[in-house]
Amino acid sequence: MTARNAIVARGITKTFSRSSNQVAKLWHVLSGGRSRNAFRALDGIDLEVPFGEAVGIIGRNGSGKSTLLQILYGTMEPSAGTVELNGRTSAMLELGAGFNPAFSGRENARLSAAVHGLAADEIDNRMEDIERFADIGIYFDRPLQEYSSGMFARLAFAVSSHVDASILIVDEILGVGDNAFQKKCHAFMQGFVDSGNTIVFVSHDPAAVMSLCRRAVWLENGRKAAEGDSSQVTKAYVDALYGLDGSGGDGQPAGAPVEMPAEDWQWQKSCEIEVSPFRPESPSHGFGGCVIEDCCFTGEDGGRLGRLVAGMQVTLIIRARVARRVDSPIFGFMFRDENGQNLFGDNTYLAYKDEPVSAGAGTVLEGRMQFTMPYLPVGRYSLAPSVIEGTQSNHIHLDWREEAVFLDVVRSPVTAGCLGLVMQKIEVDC
Amino acid sequence: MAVWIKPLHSLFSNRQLYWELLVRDILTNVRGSMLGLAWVLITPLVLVAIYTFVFGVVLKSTWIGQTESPLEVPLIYFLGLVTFSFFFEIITRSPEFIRSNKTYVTKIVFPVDILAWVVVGTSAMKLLASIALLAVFMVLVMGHLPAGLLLLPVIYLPLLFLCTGLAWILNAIGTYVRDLYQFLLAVAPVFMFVSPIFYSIEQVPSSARAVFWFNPLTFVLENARAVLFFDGRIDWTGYLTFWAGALLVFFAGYAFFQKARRGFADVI
Repeated sequence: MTARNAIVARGITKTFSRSSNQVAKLWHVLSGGRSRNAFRALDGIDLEVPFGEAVGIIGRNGSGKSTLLQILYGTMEPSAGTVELNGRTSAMLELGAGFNPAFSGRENARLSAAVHGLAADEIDNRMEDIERFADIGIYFDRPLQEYSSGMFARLAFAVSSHVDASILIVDEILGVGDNAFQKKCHAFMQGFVDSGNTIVFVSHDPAAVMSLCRRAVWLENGRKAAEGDSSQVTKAYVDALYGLDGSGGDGQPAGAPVEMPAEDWQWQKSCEIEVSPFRPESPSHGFGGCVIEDCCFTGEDGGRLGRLVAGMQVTLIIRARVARRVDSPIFGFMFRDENGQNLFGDNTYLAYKDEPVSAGAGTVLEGRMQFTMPYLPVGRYSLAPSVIEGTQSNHIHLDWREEAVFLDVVRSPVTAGCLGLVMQKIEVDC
Repeated sequence: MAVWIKPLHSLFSNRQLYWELLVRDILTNVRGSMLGLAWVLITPLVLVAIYTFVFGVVLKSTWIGQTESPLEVPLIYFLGLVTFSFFFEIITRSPEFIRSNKTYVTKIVFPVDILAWVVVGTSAMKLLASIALLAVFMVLVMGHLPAGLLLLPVIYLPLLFLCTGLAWILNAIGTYVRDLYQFLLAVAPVFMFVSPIFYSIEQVPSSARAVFWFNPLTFVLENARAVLFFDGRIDWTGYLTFWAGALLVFFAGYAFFQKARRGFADVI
């Protein structure tokens, strides 16, 4: 029997144990039992992908996209359901997975190719192609720690694309690197599909999905919200994100209709930012006494926003439950880019320096900071809110959350630098 | 495929990858250092120097007077210590090894079971280097290579299988239970002193001796010492028992690992 489909997945369900007991998790796997306190990340997903087709998967953060990719690829076991792959599969779930910075580009390429199942002579044959595709000159034989992030991405993509797969599973990895590199990646994937191969492509960027895929699947809370023609599905998805159809999906009010900045400046493209819900499980440090329970953005009407546009007035709200009496609390936040670089941040200290508030045990404190959302280049950002006690120079951290909220800039006119400039006027005199 | 061939088959069919990973693992720690691979020899040399001083000079040694030359005594310690550090390195690296290579679990379809072989392989290479060093010293001290050197691979082979099985078990549990690593670090010194490294099993009261034979290092240390330094023979009955125990741990470890690995991606 010859298979018609490159990928056939039936009834994929994945539950994660919510228990934090490590021994219980081990026992759970060994005994093969069902956990009662389980979180359902995927719920009965069916997916068929014929040979030579690219299918796009869209959905907001936490909708189960990455879990589905991991299960399709085989790095994660589904709790129920089956996956059938007909062909050698390669995945780009993370650029440069397993690269070691102390070793040269060539050495890392060798190991990576071996990891993907290439034999020694195949690797030797392909090394020249990889070197040419990566196009990083003498750096190919220098250790990775001397690379810029763009060179790293080039090398990683060059390796992943030369392992002879007929099915490619691509997570959102192409947001890195410069424009020329992104074009190269898209050209490669287009060519890959045109020559009869298969791609499953996950992206936040509806435009990227539409340009590469004829068919798209929209995931929401681990279920298929829609499937079909990619332009229709992505339109429905974008409408839902903007809250135009009134259904928020995950119980949280979807982003209120977004106002475009009043004076739309010379760029034709707006800068759109997706905001994840507050992540209660985000890593926390501090001395305690106060627990951050929520952190979100609201618009002028006070409604919670799932999507922002740069240039709009937003209010960042940090809500914390106080466990003991706290004198002069200060709310602060730090906004970071993908590499952990601090981009901007501020706190409430100066505004309340002369008349500090204090809070008794059991109360809920709320800090609000209103500002104009800056223009940022495409990429993933994170927000770290904090509550501290004391003064700016002498204080203790009560609760500090790393990556409490993720912000994905999915579309942006900014191409140079870390921040976009709101240019008011440009003139040349002579 | 027969169950008992599976663990070896996985290693064999991924031998190319295994070799790349092993070389990488050995070089990772020394890459960028000025002396490079020389550290593989320097570390055991420092170790034996300090233990020779403490147990050979300061405290009265067990084996003084039993060997042809007093200079052989430090070498006996050397053999014991490098054998122990082989074992020590494997049990302390294994619990964290899967986590520290988590991209191989979550991002790539990968034969995770060969990572235990990598840990064992790296330690085995270091042991080999140390024993080569030992051979050089023995030639300097005794003027010839003892014939017992040829028997060492025979003695150490079952230990290799035993350690691989142990590495699988520790890999699996350590990935879920993060306390395992700390626990092993805490008990490792205890384990060192209940292994016959600085003394011979004969000095242990006979009532406690039976317990000592459950320590996998006891057989190796006693027999390696006998064939290298005292013209002794391998205790062949004990050897077969040791093999049986080693293979039991090896296959049980593999079965356990294969079961537990299905949940790795969920917890890391």
